[in-house]
Amino acid sequence: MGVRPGLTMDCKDATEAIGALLDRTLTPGDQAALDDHMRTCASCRVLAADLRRMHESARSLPRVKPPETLWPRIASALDAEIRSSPRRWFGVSPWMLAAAATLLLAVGGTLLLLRPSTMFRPSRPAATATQTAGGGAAGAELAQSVESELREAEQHYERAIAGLEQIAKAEQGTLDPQVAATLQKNLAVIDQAIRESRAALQSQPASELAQESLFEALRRKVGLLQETIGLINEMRKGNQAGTARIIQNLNKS
Amino acid sequence: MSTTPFARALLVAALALAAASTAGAAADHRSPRFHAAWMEHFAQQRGPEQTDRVTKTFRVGRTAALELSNISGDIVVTGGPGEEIAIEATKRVRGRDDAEAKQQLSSVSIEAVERGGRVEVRTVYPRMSNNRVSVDYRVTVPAGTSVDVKSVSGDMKVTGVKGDLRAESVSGEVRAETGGQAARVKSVSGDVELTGVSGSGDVNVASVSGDVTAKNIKCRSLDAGSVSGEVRLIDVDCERSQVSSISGSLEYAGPLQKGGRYELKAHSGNVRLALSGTTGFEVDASTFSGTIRTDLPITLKAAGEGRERTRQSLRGTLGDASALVVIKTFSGDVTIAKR
Repeated sequence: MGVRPGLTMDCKDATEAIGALLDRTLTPGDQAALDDHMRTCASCRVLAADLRRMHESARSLPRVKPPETLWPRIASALDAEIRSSPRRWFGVSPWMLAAAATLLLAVGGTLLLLRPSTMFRPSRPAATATQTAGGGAAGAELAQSVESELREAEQHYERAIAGLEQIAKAEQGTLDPQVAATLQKNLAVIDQAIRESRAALQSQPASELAQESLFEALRRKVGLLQETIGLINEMRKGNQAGTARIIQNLNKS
Repeated sequence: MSTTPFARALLVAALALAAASTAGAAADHRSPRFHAAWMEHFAQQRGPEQTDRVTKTFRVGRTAALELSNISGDIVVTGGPGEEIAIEATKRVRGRDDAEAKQQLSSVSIEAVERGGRVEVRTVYPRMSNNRVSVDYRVTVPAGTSVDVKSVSGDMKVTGVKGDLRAESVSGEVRAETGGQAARVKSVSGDVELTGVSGSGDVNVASVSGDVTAKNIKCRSLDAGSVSGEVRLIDVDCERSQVSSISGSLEYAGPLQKGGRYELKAHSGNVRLALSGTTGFEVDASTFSGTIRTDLPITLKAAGEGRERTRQSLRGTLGDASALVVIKTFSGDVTIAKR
């Protein structure tokens, strides 16, 4: 990260340094500057403690990969359920939503590990697959591994979206037509963003911005679909309080 | 059956005429005039509007809490002097006849209870009925009241309230002018406008398809977003801001705070940051296919420290670099300017 010699560290530098500390890439000079700063800055001490706890918790989690047969089983169960009894969808919704949520958690976890927030890592150089390779075999292997993990994460998103779309379509008549039209229109806006990001990635596979844009759009779509389903459920039950609770989560993700 | 050439011509002409009038009707069906005429016809079929007014007053002191849930109808909440929460609910319906309208009105009740200075109000509909009653609320509260209002369909307006505010609607505009410390104002399909938060709380303003506007906001953190609407934040002074939209443009105008974090992200929308004050900042701005413009004397990062200045990317610092600004848009333009 490189604090200028002779200068004290401010909170912004300290945030970066804490990240580097957890990544074990902090230089001894920066470590001393960070220690000095944290002696007088309570908020950075708290931040460091929080991040260390999160880091340790994340490291202790087992790396779970869903079995290959999981999604086909969920998809066929969804198909069968909707075909046999479309009006009874809400009777099984917790199971389906739980399945979708499991997938989303898996995706979210993967992305969290792959893409640390730019707000905490502002000075990270624009790492691209080709730049990372740097000509070395280990670099090339790493680049390939990152690319394949990104592809895997995208596929998880796509599966989750497909399941959620199926659920939302099955009961969309429950929603007020105007609200349903609004949600459909905005899902189409997000779909357009997904298409554009994918096209950009085809022409420039190493573009970090195009990757971020794609995942941001996928994340927004999952969020909007989840909330649409929640809204349908609450409106069907006529539950005002629940409806309002759903609204408060809309657009959050 | 045999037909003469004349009869066949007449039949073809009649079919053509019928097809043309159907097509015309289909085209008219989409016009606002047709819709208005249909609504008027529908209203006449339903008969004149019938109303029923209900009022309730609670003595609560200067600091209280109001929680109001409604399904259909507008809500207006006004803060002022005094120590009472006064509720005026007007139920409205059009029935096939007076008897049906009165029956519908009487089947909807307004529940209002007070527990330790907290007043809870909700509209209660009969179960399993095709009730068409909407309820408009006008509520006056002591200025220090915390207000929490929710509606499925209907506009909301909150003014003069200095307590924390939460106002959420599925289909309707939400407008709030408050002197409170924290606010959460949201809608799915309506515009959202928030003015005048002042304090150290968190502010959240969002809509799915509507425009989002926040003015004169001083808070700890501001989260503002829309999917397809524009987001305009004018005279905002916050320690942290996260602003996002997919297709709408983003505008942020105000000072930065030392140590503050500001993130503005759009997909196809333009992003404009208009800065007042003298706080220095580090900026990381990028766009995939748009352009970046600035009239500020930003010191570019040295080569090797990351992306420097290109048409689509800008990394650098201004002044003491004590704040951090991250701007990303996929196809929109970025403008960073002095206000």
